[in-house]
Formats: sequence, structure tokens, C-alpha cells
Amino acid sequence: MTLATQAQSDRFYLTFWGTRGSISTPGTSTEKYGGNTPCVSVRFKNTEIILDAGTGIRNLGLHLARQIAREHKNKKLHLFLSHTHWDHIQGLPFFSPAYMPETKLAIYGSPKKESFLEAILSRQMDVNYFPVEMTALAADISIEEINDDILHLGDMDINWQEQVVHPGGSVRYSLAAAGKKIVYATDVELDKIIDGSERNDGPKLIEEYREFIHGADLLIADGQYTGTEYPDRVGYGHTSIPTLIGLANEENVKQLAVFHHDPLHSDTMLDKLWKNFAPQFASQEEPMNIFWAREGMTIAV
Amino acid sequence: MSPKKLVRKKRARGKAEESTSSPESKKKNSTTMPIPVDAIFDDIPSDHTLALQVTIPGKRPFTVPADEPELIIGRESHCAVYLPVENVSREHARIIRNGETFTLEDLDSTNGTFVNNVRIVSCTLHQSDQIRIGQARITLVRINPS
Repeated sequence: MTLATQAQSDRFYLTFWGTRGSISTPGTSTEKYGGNTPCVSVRFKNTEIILDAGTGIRNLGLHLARQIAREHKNKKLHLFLSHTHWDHIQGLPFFSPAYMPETKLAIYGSPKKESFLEAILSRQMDVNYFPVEMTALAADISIEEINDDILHLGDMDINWQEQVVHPGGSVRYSLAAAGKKIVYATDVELDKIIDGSERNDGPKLIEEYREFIHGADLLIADGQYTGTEYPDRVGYGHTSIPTLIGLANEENVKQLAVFHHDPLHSDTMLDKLWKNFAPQFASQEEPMNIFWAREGMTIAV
Repeated sequence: MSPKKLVRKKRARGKAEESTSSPESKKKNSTTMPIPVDAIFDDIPSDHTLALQVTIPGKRPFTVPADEPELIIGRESHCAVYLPVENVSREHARIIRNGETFTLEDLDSTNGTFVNNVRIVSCTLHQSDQIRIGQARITLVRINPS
């Protein structure tokens, strides 16, 4: 399907470029679901959004650079960061369009970082970590902390919320257009909120999460650990698969992409998890299609 | 350990290698049957081919070699993967081969192309992925040419 056809359509086009959590995990056992860390591109008509800049953004960059070279047109891109842990920003120095003067790149992140977002991103391109400094990038780059309640980009409305139960915090986003809603909610420990032993505001936080994901046509969400693994990973900032699926189902999510796969989870294991969980929800009265997000997959919503 | 000792150790190892490295000395020391090396190379298949295994209810399964740069899947008889069944568009989807990477693309079909029950626009394929187009099921499999 050509970009022109996509631009005419009333649908979101979404591609997974990186689905792995914590650290990039290349190798024979991760070829299918992919070893690159989080990056998802979303297009609605002519508005192009990128969610997170993990190592997956490198391949997206190569794809976009070919497009820019072919079309000889300026490119406006909007990059929304969930937070600035390595696995969500490490691909940015390898993002080819950032080196092209035709690119206008707006980077959005939590206002909680205040003026630190720019400093954090440029620090990872300090000469001690990377040979090219951020100031050398040829693209027109602006770094913006989100202040408005809802951002309007083209025909898309972007809503956001702080997710406090992750070390250092993170932000979830919802993208809405043409009556459809996509939610990107990675890096949050929902089990810890529900457990409530460490926080008094648990019920309020979980209610906010429920409202945010309610009725989503697609929810891309943190499901890093199995129910068996989770008790040994409490406090790491990630959700167990049964908790995620339970909440998504109760909130009438239509399609759930389990995301931020654990580096120790092989393709075979993710296949098995899919087979264990997906059938019962696909065949219920109001079906919810569950799949484990994989690199190289484009879907329309 | 002193540097002197380290040098001596290296020399000793060097000598040992010299004494066994000639083919003649190896032959003398060998106690196993000689292995015909050419036969080993012949036995290792280097010409792997991927193919599409197609299953249509009520029909005999068939295989289509995935050796062309592009394979069209559809209801028209000219399609490389011809699916004369309900809910399949004339040209429904295609598989593009780029080196060893196979990408499935939906061609704006009416009823959709599914990979492991997810309706896709495009998807990089891996072995054992189940492609569903109408009533047909297609799997990418590796075959060794005989």
C-alpha cells in the first residue's frame, strides 16, 4: 500500500520497529519478535508520529531516509518519549533523518523532566559515549515538554498521563482520530499499584489507567513478565502478563499488543504465551485479540 | 607470575605445536578411520529453498516454491498462489523476497490478510507463521531440493 493511499484513508497505520524491553537482544532465539528496543511509528493521513527512540528507531530511520531522498520533500516528524531510560532513547543517535536538513523533528516528553529532557538527550551524545555531538545534527530539532492537556497534530488528538509506578516515572499516550483510539502504555508496574501495600493512591492510579485505556481499538502495553516470574521482579517497574490482560479485557480493549518483551524470553516462549492466552479471549462474546508485538509488522486500525 | 616464566611457557607451547602440525605426524598419531571429507561437504545442503505450503479445505494441500522476487496470492488464475475459494480477492496479497527476508503485503483486499490471527497491512514472515486468507491457510516452510 502506497503512502498516498494511506494518506487518503481514515485509518491509523502502525509499524513495530522495536518491541524488546530493557536491552537490545539480537540472536537466533529472538529473530521473530525482534531484539530491538521500543520504537513504534504511527501515521494518520499526513501526520507521522514516533513512539520512543529505542534501537528500533535505526531501521525506521533508514526507511524514512529512503523516503526523504526519493520524494525530495521536507519531513515533519513528532517523536514522543515515554521516558528517558536507555532502552527508550538509545537509538536516537543512529536515526538517519536527524542528520538530514530536510527533517524537522519535534521531540516531546514529560514536563516532570522540566528543562532536563534536552540535557539528557544531548548528554547521551557526549563525546565520551558517542562520536557525534547533538549540536552537529543537521535536522531542525526542537525539544518540547508537553504542557497542554491534549495536543492536536493534524487530525490526531494526543492525550497523555504520567505513570508514576516506574523507577524515574514514565508517560502513557493515547492517539485518537476518526473515532479510533490507540493507547501506548509501556513501562509501568500495574501489579504494584493493584497490590497497594506501598502506596495509598493505588485505587486512584488504577482508576486513571482504566479510564485511559477504556475501549481502545489497540492497546500497546507493558507485559514483560509472566505471572510466575513477577514475584522475583517486584519494583523493576513492569507489569505481569495476567494483570495486563485482565485489565485490558475488563476495559473492553479490542486488540492488545503485549509489548516490552523480557530479554530472556525467546521466540518459542512468546509463541507459547500467545497460545496460552489468546484463544480464550478471541472466542469470548466480545472478543479481544491478543498478540505479542513483533518487529516488522504493520497493522491498520 | 614473572614475565620470564610467561615467555618460557609460550615457547614450550610453540614447540608442541610444531611437533604435531605436519600432516605426516598427524597420520601417525591418528587411531580412527580416515573420514572422506568430500562426502561430508556433499551431505550438507547449501541450497535451502523456502516454499509456501497451502491448505484449502476439501482440497489436496500443495506447495509453491518461494523463489521469485514477488509472488501474488489471489483468486485470479494467473496468480502464483492461486486460491479459488470464497472471501479471497482477485489479487489479495503478495510476498516480496528480499534476499532471505520474505515480506507479506495485503493488496487492499476486502476480507483481509492475517498472520497468526492479526490482520496485517504488511509483515516480515518467519517459518511456521500461519497466513490466513479467506479459508486458505499458508505456511512458509524450508525445503531441501532433492
